[in-house]
Amino acid sequence: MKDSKSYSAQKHALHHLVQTILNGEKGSIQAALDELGVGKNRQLKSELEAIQEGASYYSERLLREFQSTDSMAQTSLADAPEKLSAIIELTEKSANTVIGLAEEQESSLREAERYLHKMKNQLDADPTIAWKTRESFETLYQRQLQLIALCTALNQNILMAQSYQDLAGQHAKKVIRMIDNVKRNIVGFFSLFRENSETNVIELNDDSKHTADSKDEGVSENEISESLNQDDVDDVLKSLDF
Amino acid sequence: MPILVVDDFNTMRRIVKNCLKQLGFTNIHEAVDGEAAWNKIQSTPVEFIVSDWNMPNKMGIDLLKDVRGDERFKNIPFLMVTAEAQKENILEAAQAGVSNYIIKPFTADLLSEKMEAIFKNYSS
Repeated sequence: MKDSKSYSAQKHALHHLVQTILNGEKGSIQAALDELGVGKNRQLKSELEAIQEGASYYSERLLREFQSTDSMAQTSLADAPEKLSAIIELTEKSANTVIGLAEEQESSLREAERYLHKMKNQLDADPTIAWKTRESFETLYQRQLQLIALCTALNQNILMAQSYQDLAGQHAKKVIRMIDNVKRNIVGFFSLFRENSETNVIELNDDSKHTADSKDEGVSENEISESLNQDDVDDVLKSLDF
Repeated sequence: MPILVVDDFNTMRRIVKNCLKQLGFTNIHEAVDGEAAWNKIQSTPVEFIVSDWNMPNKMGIDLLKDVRGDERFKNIPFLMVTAEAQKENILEAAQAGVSNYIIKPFTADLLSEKMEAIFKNYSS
């Protein structure tokens, strides 16, 4: 029977070690290994220091990428998912603002169209207006309708362009899951070095569980098959009698 | 015709809604994921579903399977609009009974074309 207190302490020590590496706390690995009871394993320490160095290198690269704001400059691998989520939220706000403006624009265009039709109806109904004036207005009327149609089409394109935010958001969500997977794999990696096999099965935290769940949902970051375009999709559907 | 738009991104729901409005549809409902959509279908009459694949709680493909597996809703046209563009996805969706499949990003014309194709299929 497992000793639950010991299990809990080991689990805590493992998480401490992972955080130590992810946070790039140089010199803290020994303390974390001591806490795990494998402080004398020089080879393990050396390998973990190499991993930490690699993690720090990529973390610093990420920092340089995000140095445009102070808050982004605080990013480390451990809180990268949180920062990415913030980016998703910000881009979604931005896209929603543009969509809101496009909707207002659409509403104004419809109003302009209604007003134009109303003017034409009034002119058509007024027999006192000279033929030449009527003809000039007709030219103006047709031109205005063309411009409104053009603006409507452009507005629609602006709207559709916002769908890239959704795609960017989905990619970012996949990156978040990848980072969670990396954390999870690191925990798994450390478990291999445990002298006592008591912790072979490691209870993961909620985030890691979510990652495992999301893999079950069929979302894979390592998908090897090629993405299809709409024409390919239509071909596949046609071959299935769609 | 009551249409249900299912997507976890508000942006995409608004875009699809706008496209549908352009096509003359005004009775449009929204759901943030498959689970919310499933609840909505039970409580609100829905005659067409436009759904994303990748969503929390319940994925679009699971929603499709639930819809097709329920006698009350199995004939509702189901259009998948998604960035999931692997052949396995298309085949899985086809096997589950999807009515058509659109890859994001899409155009309003493509949405219109696919909806017309679905209506044509259902009427014939």
